[in-house]
Amino acid sequence: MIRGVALVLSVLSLFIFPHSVSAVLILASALLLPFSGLALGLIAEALYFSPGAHFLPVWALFGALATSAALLVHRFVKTRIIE
Amino acid sequence: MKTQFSRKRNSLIGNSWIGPASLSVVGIALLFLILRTVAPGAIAALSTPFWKTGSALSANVHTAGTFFGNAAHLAKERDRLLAENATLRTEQIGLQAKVQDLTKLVGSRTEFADEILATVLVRPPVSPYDTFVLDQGSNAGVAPSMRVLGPSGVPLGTVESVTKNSSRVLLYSAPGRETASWVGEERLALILVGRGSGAFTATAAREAGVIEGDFVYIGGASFAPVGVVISVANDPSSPRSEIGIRPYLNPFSTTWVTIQP
Repeated sequence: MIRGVALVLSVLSLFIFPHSVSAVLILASALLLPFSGLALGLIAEALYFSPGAHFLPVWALFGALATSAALLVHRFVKTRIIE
Repeated sequence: MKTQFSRKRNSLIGNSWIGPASLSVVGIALLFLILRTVAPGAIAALSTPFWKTGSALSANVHTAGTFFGNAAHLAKERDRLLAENATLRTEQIGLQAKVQDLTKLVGSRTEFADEILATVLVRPPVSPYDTFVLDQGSNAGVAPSMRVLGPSGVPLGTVESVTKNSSRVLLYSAPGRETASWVGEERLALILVGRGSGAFTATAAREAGVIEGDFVYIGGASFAPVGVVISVANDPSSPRSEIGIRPYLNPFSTTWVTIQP
């Protein structure tokens, strides 16, 4: 449930909120559903990328980084109760 | 030592991320990218209702904020604006008379070009690359490289790409974008470098005499300034000054523009 809410909020933020807020929401969404980081980055590029504005697709790269970071967190950080 | 995994937390950050949900999300994103490449107009058409909702929400939040404003302060500001408006109106009448006199004397070589009025669908800071998306496209006569002017003719940028019913504008302030310009009453030539969010920087010789408050202009049909010098930093070890320029028109609150050939 919370994953769905985070994802929908992140997608809507690309249309409504300042891009700094969108970046934070993409990070949060990637933490809950890692591949959503990459996906949201690609959607941001599809919406706003302009070849003259930047030579790199910054948001796709940011999304890929968020996904990589989230995957690392999922791979190495496990929640446990140590007795 | 016994180790126990927390089921509750693992259900939140678990390993169920590589399932149908992830595949669907990535699939939708790829669909967006393909649409952008194959039919760029479709993306703008799909997104327009969301962008319009976002703009309306921003405007309503601003209006709701004024409810909490100090009434006395607002009344004082209103009086100040009325006085300023009266002064400007008088000044404008004088300038119009001067223009008419000069036109009679020397004639007019300026032919006013046809302009296209467009609504800004999305602007910074929602749009991350210092771009505008406008609601007019090739159907209305918009073409790449056309100039885009804000209210009062302030130059904002140029059209970069066009679809049938929308167009993308790259602002002069896009990070790294260089634009030829001049500054101050001496008309000193400068290269403006965009810094994003409407801001610019430039460098000039220290002896050039650029001062804070000087207006910066860009060549073209409009004689309105593009920015105002707000800082001139002189480093004793450098013969050049770093000039900070703020935009004359805030791109964050621009709701309509005109497009000129």
